[in-house]
Amino acid sequence: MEEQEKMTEESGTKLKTAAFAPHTAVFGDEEARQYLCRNCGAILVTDNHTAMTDCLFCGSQMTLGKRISGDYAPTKIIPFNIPQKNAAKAFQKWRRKIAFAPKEFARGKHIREVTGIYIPVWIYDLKGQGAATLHCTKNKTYDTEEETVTETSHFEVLRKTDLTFRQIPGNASKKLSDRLVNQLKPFDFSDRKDFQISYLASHAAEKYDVTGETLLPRIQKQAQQYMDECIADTVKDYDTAVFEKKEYNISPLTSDYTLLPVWIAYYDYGDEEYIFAMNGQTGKIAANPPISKIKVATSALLIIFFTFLFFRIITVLLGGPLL
Amino acid sequence: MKTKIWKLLIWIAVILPASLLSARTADANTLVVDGAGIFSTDEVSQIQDSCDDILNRYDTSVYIITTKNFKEKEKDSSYMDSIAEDKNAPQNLIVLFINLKKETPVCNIYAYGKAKNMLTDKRCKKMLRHITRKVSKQNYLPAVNTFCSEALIYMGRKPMLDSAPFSSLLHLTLCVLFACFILYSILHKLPDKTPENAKTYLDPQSSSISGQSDLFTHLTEERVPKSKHSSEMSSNA
Repeated sequence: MEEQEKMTEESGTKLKTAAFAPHTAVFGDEEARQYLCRNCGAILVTDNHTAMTDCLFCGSQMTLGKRISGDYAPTKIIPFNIPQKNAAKAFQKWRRKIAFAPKEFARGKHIREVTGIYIPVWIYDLKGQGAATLHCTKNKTYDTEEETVTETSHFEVLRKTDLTFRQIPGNASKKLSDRLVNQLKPFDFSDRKDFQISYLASHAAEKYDVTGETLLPRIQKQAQQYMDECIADTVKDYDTAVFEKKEYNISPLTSDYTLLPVWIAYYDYGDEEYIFAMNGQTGKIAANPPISKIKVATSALLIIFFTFLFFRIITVLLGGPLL
Repeated sequence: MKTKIWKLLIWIAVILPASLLSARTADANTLVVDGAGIFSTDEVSQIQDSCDDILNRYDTSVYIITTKNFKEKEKDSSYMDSIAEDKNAPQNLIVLFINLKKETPVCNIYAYGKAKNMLTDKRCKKMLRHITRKVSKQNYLPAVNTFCSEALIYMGRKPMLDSAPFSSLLHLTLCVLFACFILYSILHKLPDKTPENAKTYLDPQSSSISGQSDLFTHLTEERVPKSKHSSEMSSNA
């Protein structure tokens, strides 16, 4: 890896980053196909024998995209652990439990079938080396006859660290928001398998939208916070601790283009599109349900009415007026 | 001696002619003395009924006194006190006094006995605001009716219930806030996000603190004098 170093200065922190190339494979000739949805822009990848007609996200017709051979291919994959039947059942159960869901949604209208898809992430291993100087204090308070005395001892604290962070995932999906992917966590990355094109025979994969290089600064920033956290853990004996100077060198060790299994169901309500997603490995659900404004308003009025009535009845019982 | 003569004169000047003028004087505990002649016989009768209502419900007498002859405003209260302190005066008494002598009419409410506890200064001021507004527009009967109806309400309601915790507006505001809180917590109840911290990703096998130093630099001292009260408390202890 070529050792180019970038320097970024942010709130007194020097962050050195080395240029790196993410760890990926490439698709071979006639190994996979990519399909493009002209409606939502999704790019889905299947094996060469699977033909896709409808987009898994929006249901629109898909067209065969350009040749994929030579493009980055995933190196790792977590296969589906939860069968489609269970995912569909969980979705139905979740759908009925949504508070303030519109009638159409509760009845199951405008909802597409639950389908499985592999979403792309970059999984990073990072090395964080550096030093931080903190200003720490310890307080001691005692009383004399006339005064309360607070003695504060000030310390200059230096910590040098050599930390390794493993398997920090970064969302490379265009269709699933970071928030949604974070809600789907945790994935057990120790269960990762080497990628084989046969996995895409049963479920299509969304092609990564964000490159490993583009995502790296965000992950490094995350790692920087983790380094702060680790250092802060070592000065817990002090009453206060404030970072004064930080110089970290956070460099990527590896990054794998990995596919994660997710069951999804898209549905429209009004002009908006909503998503139900389930972690295909653990069954954890993340979703944003549609909300009926009329139901919310009615509930608000009912809550206000009954609580107000309750207060006034208490007032009347104490001898006060009803209004 | 002079005071007694002064009271007697007032009695002769105001109460006696008024009593004669009024259609009905109370034998028992209510009294409408229309010295200013602002009510008709029917109106006096109606006022009397309202006063009787208060008397019957709360065993509290009501005197309504109007005058055009009472000159010294300062003497109002002492005059009223003399009435209330009279041997034959009822124990619980409310007096509405309307003085129309001056260009701006002066109204006053006096409460004695049990009524004094119920018609607090705050309540009297509120009632007077309503009454004075009507009297200044020469709406005398509505003014007295307002007095009677409000006195009836206040006599049956503890003054504590006028305080903020029992106000409808406050209750409504609390209910709206409560509804917002409930709905917000329901609508924003998202699937649990697994808390992530450094330990989630830290590899303890290949991580270490490679160097550390804790250097004492200086000491600061803050001295806060104890308050006299607290030092006294501690010395007592």
